[in-house]
Amino acid sequence: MNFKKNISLIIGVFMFGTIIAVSIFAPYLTSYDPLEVRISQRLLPMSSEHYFGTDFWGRDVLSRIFYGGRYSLTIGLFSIGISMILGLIFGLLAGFYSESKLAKFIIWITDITMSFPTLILGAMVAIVFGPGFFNTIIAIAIAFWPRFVRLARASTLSVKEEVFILAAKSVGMSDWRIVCVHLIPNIISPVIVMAIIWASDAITIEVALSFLGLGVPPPTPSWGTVLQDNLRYFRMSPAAVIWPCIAIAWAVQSLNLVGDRFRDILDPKMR
Amino acid sequence: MNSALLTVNHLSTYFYTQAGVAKAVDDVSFRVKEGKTLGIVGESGSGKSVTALSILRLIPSPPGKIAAGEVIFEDKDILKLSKEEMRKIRGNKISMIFQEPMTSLNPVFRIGDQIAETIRLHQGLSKKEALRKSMEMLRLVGIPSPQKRVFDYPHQLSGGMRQRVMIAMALSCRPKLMIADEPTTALDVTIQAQILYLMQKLKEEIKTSIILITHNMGVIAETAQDVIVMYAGKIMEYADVENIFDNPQHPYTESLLESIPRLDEIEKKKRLRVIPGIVPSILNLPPGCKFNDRCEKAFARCFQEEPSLFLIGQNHYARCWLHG
Repeated sequence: MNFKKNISLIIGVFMFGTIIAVSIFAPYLTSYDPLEVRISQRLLPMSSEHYFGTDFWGRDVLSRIFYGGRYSLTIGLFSIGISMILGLIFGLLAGFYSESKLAKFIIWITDITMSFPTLILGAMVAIVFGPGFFNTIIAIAIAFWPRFVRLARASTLSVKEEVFILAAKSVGMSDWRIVCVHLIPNIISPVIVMAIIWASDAITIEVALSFLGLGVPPPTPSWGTVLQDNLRYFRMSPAAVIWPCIAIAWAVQSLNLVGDRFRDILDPKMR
Repeated sequence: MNSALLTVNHLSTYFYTQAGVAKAVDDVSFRVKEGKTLGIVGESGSGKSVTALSILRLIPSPPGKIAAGEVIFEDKDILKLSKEEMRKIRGNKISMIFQEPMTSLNPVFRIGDQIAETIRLHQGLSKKEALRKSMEMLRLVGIPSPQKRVFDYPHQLSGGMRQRVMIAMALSCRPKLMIADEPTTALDVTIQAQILYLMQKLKEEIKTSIILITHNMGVIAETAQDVIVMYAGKIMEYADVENIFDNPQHPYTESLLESIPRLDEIEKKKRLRVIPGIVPSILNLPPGCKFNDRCEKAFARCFQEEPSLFLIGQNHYARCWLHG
């Protein structure tokens, strides 16, 4: 392991680790309740009392960002996890039995879903299900699902033609075993890499949905709702807008750094 | 020792493409004798590999389909077996090694695990035992320090080493028949000789029969006892190796033998003889004999009627009107 090569990975893991830690240990890092309204303390600037200031309702912005990380990160990671598993299953099916009717059906559904921009699709699903924590996860999972299907299918189609798959058939392996032993390990690397990178996209989609009032409903803090609450008072209290933006950028950048480096690490030829 | 291990009767494999039906293998019959090597020679696209894949029923379907014929192995027609029964034969009783050693191993698994996988599949050994057995197989195929090499990834091995690993995998269950589809084509000449020698040696040790597919007449001369010359999906000549080389009866076989570069001719600065023309497309075969447009001895009948495979001597067949 070369330190110079992995510097971006180390930075990325460190950045992501801090933001996860801050979200988990929020109760120990701040004494303010993110939901507690104190009108007398509204729109305070940054100070030693309130490091990031307070918002229109007098709530501590630092506490809202730390607690908000719990919602934003959970939604981002879980929705990507769900869509990755679904995408892998259907992508493998569509790729391995590429001539079957089922495969054509899966591709048909995927193409329809892909024709909507991710945010619009997420918003549409969120409108159908209504706002809420779990509904947001489902909405984002549905929006990202076709990307994983395409990725898994494309990788499967190319790996399937490799001679070692034919060789595996020639020693009497069943389809199920070929998929588990030979296909999945060969297609999983790009899927994991893209899952990490798309997780950052999912976080921004969550922010956008919550910002539009389609994601986590207020007063629950998520980075999107924090941004939405404070944007109106940007001139009076700019810190309350800038800090959630930094939190979002921090999380997104950390995932991109990790994903980028993972691409090289998961390549077996680099071992 | 001369009984037939595998009998192929009237095997026809067609590919149903948009451009038409491609008769990749057309009415091919032969026998593989126990403990012997059958060589199949022919140019690219003559149907050698499709014949091999048909025996293991590995033709990609669609578009390919085994349209007719039977493959008798151990008194059973393996074309009629269920998928389940077929899987028990593959790798266990009939195994195959491929032309491309660089890509026929899974790049993400250690070679030991890959051999062990095959062993466990058919012999129900534990993981540890299977790994020890794969180590033995690696030693058998002449890989130095196999106890270390089992933990190598395929990219850490050279082409010749990988082909040895493939042979180890193919022979790990001591199959009755090994099909080698151009096993040495992708290797350089010295490694080629080593691999051929190894296959000869293991054939005797494990008592397996071999179907050796190649386009190299030299390889055939060294290893095979019986020879099939294929052209455009059909058998052109079928005889034992002495007859093929000393007494070829089909003009195609003669031309093939004449186009082997010879040392004495190079010294005399003679040009290498080649067969004019190219293999016809199997989608658009000429009427009459498939070789007629490239044949020096072709006469009127060759362009009208297709000859059948005539018996012209003891176990010697040729598809040519010269003998009809």
